[in-house]
Amino acid sequence: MSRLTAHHLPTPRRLAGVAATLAVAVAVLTACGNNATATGAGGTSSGTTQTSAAASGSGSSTGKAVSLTATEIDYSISLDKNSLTAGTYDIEVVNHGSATHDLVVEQNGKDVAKTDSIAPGNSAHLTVTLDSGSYVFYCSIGNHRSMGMEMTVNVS
Amino acid sequence: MTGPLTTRETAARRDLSPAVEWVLRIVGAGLLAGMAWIHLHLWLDGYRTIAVVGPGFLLNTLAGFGLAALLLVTPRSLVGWVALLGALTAAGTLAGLLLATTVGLFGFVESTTASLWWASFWVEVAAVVVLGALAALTLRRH
Repeated sequence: MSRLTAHHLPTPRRLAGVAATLAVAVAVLTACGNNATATGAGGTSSGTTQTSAAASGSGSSTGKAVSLTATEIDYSISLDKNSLTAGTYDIEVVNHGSATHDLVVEQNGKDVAKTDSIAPGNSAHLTVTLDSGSYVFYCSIGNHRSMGMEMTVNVS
Repeated sequence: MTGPLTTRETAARRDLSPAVEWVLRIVGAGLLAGMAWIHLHLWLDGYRTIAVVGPGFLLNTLAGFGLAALLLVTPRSLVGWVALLGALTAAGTLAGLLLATTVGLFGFVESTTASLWWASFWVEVAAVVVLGALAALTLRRH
């Protein structure tokens, strides 16, 4: 069994070097982790920090979805935020109507996300990443869209 | 002096006159066609995407138009049975509408504020009444 001798002990200078190396490594890994999170969330947006996103009701580009509530009645849809910025949103879709509804997010005529059917009084969650541009939120049940259950959502 | 009416004479007096029968036939056929048109309109307007209910609307359209046509061309001896089939179809459709609006039907819940809900309700109620009456009055002949 070896014994720890004086020359094996780290000197203050060595300790400082190791600490500096670790700090750089942690900083690099953290940066990589943030990038991976943003990519994994499908976020292609940038520029908005999480703090300012939460304060302004805008989407997060750091992977943590911002809450948004879509309230559906017979036959209209409303959001609890007036303006949205690009990012990932966790949309709680609440059906306050007396009929079955759902929520579909459409961009350029293509559906990009949708909930299952939501019974009256129930709710569903939908996580979607919105880039800058124009979207349409609508209900795909029956003829509800033509009856007024659609709204244009502009994401800045 | 006339004697007591025979069973045949009594039945003949209760028998539906051809004119009344034709009025009931035409009105009944119109109601069945109206029911079919409502379901076709809604099917084309988006209800076709609803599981089970969508195909049901199309089936109702075919049955409604088919029975309406059959009611107008069928011989007198069979009109009661066609009317009965029409009444049962309208009653089944009405039951489906009420179930969908209350407890839901195949996971789909309808609202009375949906387009053509009240039109559908009254047309189906009227079809049940008219075709039920036609069936009852004509099947007594047999």
